[in-house]
Amino acid sequence: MTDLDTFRDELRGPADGRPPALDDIIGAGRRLRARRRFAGATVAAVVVAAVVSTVTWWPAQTPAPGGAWPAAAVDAEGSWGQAVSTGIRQDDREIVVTAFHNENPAYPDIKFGVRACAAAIDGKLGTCVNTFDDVPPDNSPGFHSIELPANVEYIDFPAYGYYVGPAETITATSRGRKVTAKLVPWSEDPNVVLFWFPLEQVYQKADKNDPAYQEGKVTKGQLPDLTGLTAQDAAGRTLPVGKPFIIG
Amino acid sequence: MKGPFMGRGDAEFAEFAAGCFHRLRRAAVLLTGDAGQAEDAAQAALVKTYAAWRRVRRQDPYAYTRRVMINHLKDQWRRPLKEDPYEQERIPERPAAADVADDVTRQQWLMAALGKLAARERAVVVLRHYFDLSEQQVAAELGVAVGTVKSLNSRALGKLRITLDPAEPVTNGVSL
Repeated sequence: MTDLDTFRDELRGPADGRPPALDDIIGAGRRLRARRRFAGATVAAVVVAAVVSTVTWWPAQTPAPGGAWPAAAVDAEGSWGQAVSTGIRQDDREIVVTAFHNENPAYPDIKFGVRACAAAIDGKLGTCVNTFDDVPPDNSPGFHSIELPANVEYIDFPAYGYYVGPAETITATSRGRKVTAKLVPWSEDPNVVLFWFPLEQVYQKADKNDPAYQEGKVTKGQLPDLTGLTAQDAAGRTLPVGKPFIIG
Repeated sequence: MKGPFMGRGDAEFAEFAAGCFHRLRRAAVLLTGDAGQAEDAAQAALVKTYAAWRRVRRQDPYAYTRRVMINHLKDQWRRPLKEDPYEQERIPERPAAADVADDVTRQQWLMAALGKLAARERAVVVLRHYFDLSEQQVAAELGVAVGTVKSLNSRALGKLRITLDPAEPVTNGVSL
């Protein structure tokens, strides 16, 4: 028996514990099924409310996509450099991207990470989704950590990441279509480029045209995908791919 | 099962749930280290499976339930700066192989050691070595590249000081 076999036996562990509370599970399952049947009827009302809320809440002077988020008001633990606006808004939040000091002790060699945050109108960064490399170095030429779209705490975050090098154009393929990222140099080092893909291009919702989805299966067809990442400089030359690390 | 409305579909679901509950709960324990949270996660996944039972019963309900549970737990490890809750200590030395009396000690080591892994590493270890999924299946389950799975698996087993079987290829790079 190999070390790995022994470890797998340990993972299986003792077979004990009480049986499932089937009455409770089925009761809750029935209630959930009933709620889902009515969910569609309420969506339209929620959308209308969200639009009204957005129009009335956001003033005209908020930065354009790619513009600096009001630095003086930024209040986010560990953020590093200027947060920039993505133009993606939901209710009273706008998604901004910036970098952060990675102090995760599980990754002692990775000091740099990037994050997308739901920023409030007063500039404060609320919920953030962080992403950072798995293997060092975190500053080698090319792509690094890339986070796929996610819904965290009811906020949609786009796919985003960073590139080290003079990238002027970043493209990829998502669900068979070529998509182009928005990008901006990082304030602390212009050789580092922060980029993100608008949610309309790399979206997190299920691909309803995927055959697997139409068959009702839960498969990769329901996941956002991002392949064929390419970076080009201002002269149109293809730059090194590096080590893209896509986290979903 | 004593519910008054138990039809054929309910009976089928009850049999399914009873058959997979312990395995799901064990996986959730390995993923969270918390027995109460694990039981909640396994039950929550079964609730969602019941709600979708007519749709999933003829497919692979176990895979569906496992995926729902992983997603349920994944939401917690995606959150910023909570991914690896204050992991400061080194992974303890692994107890040597010994008699059955040491099983408790070995389980204690296992939970402590898993608790020191980064959340993504822990997820890969559980999916790969507890659920016995292929690297491609783990990648699809977590929505990451196969190279990422290889990298995380290699790193996690290294931290756990598990010697890989020669048949287990190790790739340290990340590919698309």
